[in-house]
Amino acid sequence: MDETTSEDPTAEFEGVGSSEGPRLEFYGGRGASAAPIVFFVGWAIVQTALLRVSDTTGLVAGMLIGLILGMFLVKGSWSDYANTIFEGMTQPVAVTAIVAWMWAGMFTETLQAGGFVGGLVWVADVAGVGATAFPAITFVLAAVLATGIGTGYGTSVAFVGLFFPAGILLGANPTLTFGAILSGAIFGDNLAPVSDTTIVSAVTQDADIGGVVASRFKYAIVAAAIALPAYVVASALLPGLDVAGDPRAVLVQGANPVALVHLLSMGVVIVAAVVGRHIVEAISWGIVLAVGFNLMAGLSSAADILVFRAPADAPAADALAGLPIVEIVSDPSAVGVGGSIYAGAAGFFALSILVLLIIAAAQIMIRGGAFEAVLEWSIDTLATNVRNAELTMVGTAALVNAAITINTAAEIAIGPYIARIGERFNINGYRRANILDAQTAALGYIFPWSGGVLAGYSAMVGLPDTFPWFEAGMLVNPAEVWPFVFHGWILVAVFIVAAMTGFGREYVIDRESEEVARV
Amino acid sequence: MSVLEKFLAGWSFRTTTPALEPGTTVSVFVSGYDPAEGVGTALIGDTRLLVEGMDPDAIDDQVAVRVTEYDPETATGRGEFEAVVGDSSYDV
Repeated sequence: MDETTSEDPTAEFEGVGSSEGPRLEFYGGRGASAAPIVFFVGWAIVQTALLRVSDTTGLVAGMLIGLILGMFLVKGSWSDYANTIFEGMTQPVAVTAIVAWMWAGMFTETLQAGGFVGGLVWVADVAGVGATAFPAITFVLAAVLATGIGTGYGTSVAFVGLFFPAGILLGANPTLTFGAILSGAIFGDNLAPVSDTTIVSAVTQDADIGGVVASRFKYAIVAAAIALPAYVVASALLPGLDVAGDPRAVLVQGANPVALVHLLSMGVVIVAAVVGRHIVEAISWGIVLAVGFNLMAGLSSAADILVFRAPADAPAADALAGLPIVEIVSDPSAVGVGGSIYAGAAGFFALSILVLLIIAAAQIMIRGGAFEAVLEWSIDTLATNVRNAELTMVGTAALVNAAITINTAAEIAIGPYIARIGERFNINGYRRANILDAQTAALGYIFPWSGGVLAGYSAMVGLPDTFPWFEAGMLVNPAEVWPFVFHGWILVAVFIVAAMTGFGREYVIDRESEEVARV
Repeated sequence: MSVLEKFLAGWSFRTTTPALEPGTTVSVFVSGYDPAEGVGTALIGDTRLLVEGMDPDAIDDQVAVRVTEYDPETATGRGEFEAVVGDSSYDV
């Protein structure tokens, strides 16, 4: 909630409603103000689903063109339209998400530079699991990694590179193992405080990230408690491949028990966020710990975390060349700054621009009346009571995320709709954020055009180059994995049941999410 | 609220018609206004809270309301407007 009560409450009272910005009129009526967003969604479906190009900057281009096309539909002054773009881009929701993403990116890249996945590989190795239990343990360990690093895509890539070939050699079913990896990725993408989708779900629903994480644990753990035995049962029923090789050899090459120290880095961020520390402070502590562990335990070099690659003719090249974070390079194209801190922040640049533009397009839709029209229709026909309202929120979030490969973009676009439907029934920010993010995380890793599936598959096609015994016929067709992403399907089902039964439902009068300033 | 309490909050099946306690003040989003009756309407789930003394411009805002009566049979209550305490995340 925005609980910024002024000294004179009536001062705020006078400014309510929609009078703060200009109303925009469009040829074709108020529905035409949705043109930029509709164009963008269409672009996103063509680019990411039909052409399978997961390029966030490509979506930026689509959103920019949509905003330009929308301008030609405006009646009267185009400057009001242009000003509305600026009004949208300066919304706190976008800036808050961008700041949180930067910090989360630095933390998660530093954890990956420290080889956190190697610690989990070591656990799998010493556990000595057989073919039947392998997909289940893969699901659990992928969930731990994804909860630590916040990126399900990164988890998919890392686990397909090590756990997937090990599972094949053990005799576990390849499609089921891939499904288990994607399920673990969903778990972490949904729950981690440093996950981009967690951050977006919280800020679009005016809720603090730590509170959101704590409140969604119940849904995630219920779904995982069903998915885990399901993997054991399915693994017992589904045949594996008969491939000669030593699965331990695959795991041992990446195992490093010392890297498990990053469970502490990850735990500090989660606990600090949940106890109510500002997310920037919580993640900063995680970064400090992760950097310290990396350097003290030799998990990474200083240059892995931050490095200046300077040309030999730089004025201070000789003087500073001895520093561990300075490298002198002869190749001009290698000149630059690098390391996990750099890459972590830079990894969100394109998404940051995209969120600004999507929020701008949403503001056009709000000022032009299309958002109101969609809301009115939804309230009249779908969200007729609180149960139907929650089912509508689940359904629309699922639909949009099923259609758009990059789930963070889909989540940003649908966030305002979820907020308004939920506010109408005084459903609190935590519940709204949980409904939004569960569908976002789940549907982003199920279908053959989903970003998480494509990320994992792209890593899989490189396996024949790494392992001589790995044949092209062992690749899992992305179109065949969808029935085996158990955690994703069960998470969606949990929310359908939760909407129908009231499990986990909280009203604003029960508990209010903490103010947005604390995200 | 402790960390454990935050993790344990909401492990229950919440009714669609939560009860209101007369004499207490609640902060709720107002979603409608009846000019004939001069009262606003807030839906807390499927419970209706009629808000007296509210300015119609406060629709979609979060307002503090002092509950004066509540009928569990019809899941309908009445209350007096006290102040605007917040606004919607997305004004339309």
